[in-house]
Amino acid sequence: MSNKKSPLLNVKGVLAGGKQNMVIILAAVALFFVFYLINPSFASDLNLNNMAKSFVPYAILALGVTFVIATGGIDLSIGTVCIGSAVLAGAICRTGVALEDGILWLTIPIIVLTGTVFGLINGLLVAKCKLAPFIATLGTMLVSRGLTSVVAEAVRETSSAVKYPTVGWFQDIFVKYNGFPVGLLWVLALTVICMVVMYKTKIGRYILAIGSNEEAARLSGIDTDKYKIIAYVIGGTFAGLAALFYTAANPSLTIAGGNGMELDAIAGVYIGGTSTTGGAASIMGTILGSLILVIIRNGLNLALSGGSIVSATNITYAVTGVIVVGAVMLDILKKKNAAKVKIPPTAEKKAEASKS
Amino acid sequence: MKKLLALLLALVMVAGLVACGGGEATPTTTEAPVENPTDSPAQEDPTDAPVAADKGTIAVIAKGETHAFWQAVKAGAVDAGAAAGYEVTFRGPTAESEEYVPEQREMVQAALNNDDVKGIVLATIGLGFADELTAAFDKGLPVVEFDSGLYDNNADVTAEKDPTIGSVATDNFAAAGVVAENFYAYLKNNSLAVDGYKIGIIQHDSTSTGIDRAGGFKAKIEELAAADGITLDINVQVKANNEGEYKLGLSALKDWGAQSIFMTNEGVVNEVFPEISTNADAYKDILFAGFDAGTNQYTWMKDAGATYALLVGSVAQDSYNIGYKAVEMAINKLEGKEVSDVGIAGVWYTAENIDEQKDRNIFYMG
Repeated sequence: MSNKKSPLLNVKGVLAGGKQNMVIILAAVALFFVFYLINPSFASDLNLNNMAKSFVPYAILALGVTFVIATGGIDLSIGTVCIGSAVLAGAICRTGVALEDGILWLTIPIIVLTGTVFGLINGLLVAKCKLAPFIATLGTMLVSRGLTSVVAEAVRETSSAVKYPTVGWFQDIFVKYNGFPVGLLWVLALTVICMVVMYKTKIGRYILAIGSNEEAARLSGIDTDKYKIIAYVIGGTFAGLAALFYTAANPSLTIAGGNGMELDAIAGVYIGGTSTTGGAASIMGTILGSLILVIIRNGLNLALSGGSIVSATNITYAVTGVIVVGAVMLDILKKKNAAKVKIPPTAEKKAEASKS
Repeated sequence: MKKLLALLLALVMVAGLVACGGGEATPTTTEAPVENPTDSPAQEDPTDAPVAADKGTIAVIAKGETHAFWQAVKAGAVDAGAAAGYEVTFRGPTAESEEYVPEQREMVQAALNNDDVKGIVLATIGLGFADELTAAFDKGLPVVEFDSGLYDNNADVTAEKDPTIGSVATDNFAAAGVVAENFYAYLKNNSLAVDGYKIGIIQHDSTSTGIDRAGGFKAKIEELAAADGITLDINVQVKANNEGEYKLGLSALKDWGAQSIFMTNEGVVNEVFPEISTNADAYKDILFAGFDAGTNQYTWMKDAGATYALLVGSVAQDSYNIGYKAVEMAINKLEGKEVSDVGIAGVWYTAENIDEQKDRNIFYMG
């Protein structure tokens, strides 16, 4: 985004994302239709609910990490922080399958706060200790996985899975109420909040400014360290929030789990058009990117349900990979084109003349 | 425009992959029944020629897919389907860990959303299947629990909407009884079955599996001895799965003067074997019997008493029959027959037939 004169006025760049969103929406609709034709059960009530179940936690993880990616960073710890926080809270509150076991309500603040704390640690490591985000969050990924497991083992004196109730108010609030996938409403609400924060507040604008050109942002008086920390705190807190929805849908959690979840979420962000180098972020794109991943995963699964020697899961990996690479290539092409247009022909000639 | 083009390209790729997967599906179903061993007496052999698979599909969703154990279960499942004219699909998550519940749930979803599926055979690896089990009930699909069945004592089952019709699993009590029968026969043949003969048991834990295995062995061998007017002296060492505990059990039994020892699982064998092989002379005169499979048991059994104590034989879980009986139960239910829980005893193997059982995937290394 070095071509932008003022990184602070990035709203235009955000609106430009609208075109990409349209493309993703079209692709999602087309995919939905293709999968529906292959197997009409794809659009069944049962399957739509199942899609919502897998979409919600990943979408929330992706929303949070969009802020981190917007600063030009990355957060590899969100997957293990997500599962780790639920494991920790479940162990401390001694939750079990039956509703009366343990103090279920108390897990909610513990889960979210654990996420926030790990986000804060990431932020401090990156902003204050100047660690590369990849290394800092790789460390937190391992620490969150190990530490929460150790505490859970010590408290429960076993390393078996942490369990939550399978039905009850926890599910009614986070997964499904009377057959309606309430998780989607939460995603909608969080999306709106994220859009406001990203585009309408100082926090979002400064985060984008840092991603565009950190040095320029610092020189124009932005406390870059503070806003970087805020971005990671948002990422961590959303990992905690995602854990609520994940746990309600999957009430048994392996301790030391969550590996690979972050990559699915990050893939969604990239597909949605948020720049890999920061500076431009599309909240709507993140949601649509996550949606398209879920459609592909679920659709392939049903399309291949008749039995096949190749596993639908493995095909999904391959397809996701191709799409992520494609989406990032688009981002690069977009920038290249933008850069070309900006250079007036005379300037180009001048540059050539000075070279020779 | 370029973006649109690229995304369209991606779409085409997805469609292509779907087509590839679908296209390759046909050979699987025709190939699978052929590759299964049908000559072993332990197997329920479909004698009548397989009928064309047109009655529908039984979807088997196991706790794994690639391990030798599951391959043998799959072979049994496919054979049972072929015998009755049903197609069988077999899927399992990457690993047997709660982390893969979303993956396994997708497999159950695929089965529920496939109109050809008439019945489901299921062993879950975690919680989170409540909606799917209710949906199976609503669709009238019978669900057979197999192996360890539904996770956490059917916690996912909604009381009024329970689709489960029965379970098929190893009957540990009966399997240990098979060990007792064969082991007692060995004692008799070698004139060792005498009053006061000392038999030790190292019980691997105090869960129902451990209790059933130790109890099944003790009850059966005492019964057989009593029939011959003999009273045996039996000592059960109940241990837990902590480093070194089984070894303590072994030395305790040796001090006591055990003349033979039964080990109730692979874990016990894996601790006992290094001990009896490094101190070969100290344990040389004790006879052993085991449970399950594994590399240690293979090496030990193949030695046949040459360098260290003799491992007379072991019992392995009859994975082929677990798969066969589970699919058969689903089909029986669909065809209006009465069904009830099936407990499967294990397969006894010795140095003579261990390789044969290995070929059948009943015995596995690892």
